[in-house]
Amino acid sequence: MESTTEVPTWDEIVEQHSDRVYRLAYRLTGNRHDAEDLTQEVFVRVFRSLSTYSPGTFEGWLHRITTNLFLDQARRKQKIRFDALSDEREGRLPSSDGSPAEEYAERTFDDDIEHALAQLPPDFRAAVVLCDVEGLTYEEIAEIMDAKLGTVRSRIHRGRAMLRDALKHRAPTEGRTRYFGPRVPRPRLTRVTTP
Amino acid sequence: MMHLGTRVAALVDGQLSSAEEERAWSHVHSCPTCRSAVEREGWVKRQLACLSFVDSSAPSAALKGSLYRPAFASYPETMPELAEGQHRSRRFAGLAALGAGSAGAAMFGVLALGSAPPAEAPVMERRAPATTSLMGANPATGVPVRNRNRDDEVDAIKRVMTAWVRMGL
Repeated sequence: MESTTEVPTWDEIVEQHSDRVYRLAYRLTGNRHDAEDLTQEVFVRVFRSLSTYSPGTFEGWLHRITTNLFLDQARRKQKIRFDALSDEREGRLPSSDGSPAEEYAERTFDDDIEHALAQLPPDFRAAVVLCDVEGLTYEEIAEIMDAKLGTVRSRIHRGRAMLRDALKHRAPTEGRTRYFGPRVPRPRLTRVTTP
Repeated sequence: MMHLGTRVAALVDGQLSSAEEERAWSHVHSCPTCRSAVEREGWVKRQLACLSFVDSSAPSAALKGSLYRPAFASYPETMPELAEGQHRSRRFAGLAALGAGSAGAAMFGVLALGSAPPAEAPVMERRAPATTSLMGANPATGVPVRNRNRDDEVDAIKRVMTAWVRMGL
């Protein structure tokens, strides 16, 4: 494709950017369904604001739209959840989150990380994902999230600390440099003893 | 030097100035607490970095199709400037968002049915990969503009939208 300075057509925009937007949306939302919805919303927003597009900032612009739409939604959901919680009090709390141990252990390591990511508060998740999955600098993240550099740094640091905590069972510990495998008892190979 | 605190993150991410970084490393070498903090931070970062390579998270063909031919792209001449409007923009934002969902597909169906002869009732394929009628052929799929009913839909939508605008909706 030849490089021109013209504003791209809609098809070109979708072709060039939908994978990246979806990937970020998937990492932020943690599931396919929400990621698809978020991606759609991002492109609706992009379509409506194309007139304000200036060449060269498109990717940053998409990052910002995606992240901020995600944060808006997540905050709204949190609020709803919080309201529902205060209505019902804590009666349901212990049972709602307790997944069976076996089910948990059968997850792959990737699933574990995704699950742990999904448990982070939205601001922390966004900061960590933008840094470690998207590979952005603190300056870029600060601009996207409209936050100070120090805030970005502390969100990333605390987000990672929470992740590590959630992945404790996989993390290397004293005297053990490799991370643990799943916590299921593996079927033991029975040694055939020849007489 | 004090412990690194949240600067551990910046150190691991290479976000400190070179002078700061040098000082931080020399502290880390002499401080077991900060050394293990750096190791912990780096471990999590590596796990996340691996995640992006084992990427099962490509967008589905259906999603991409719906982006190429989104409901909201059927009337690009009117959409962008209407979106700038004050109170109208909310309505259209809502409509555009609706257009991305199944409710929007249903609305399209109803409008198109109203304008086309009953025998030619269009089959709505919400996420079929096709091109927008105003954008020409889709470079990815090479699908040319072809759907006759589509023009009817667009006309119907435009008429309804114009009516709504007149009504001050």
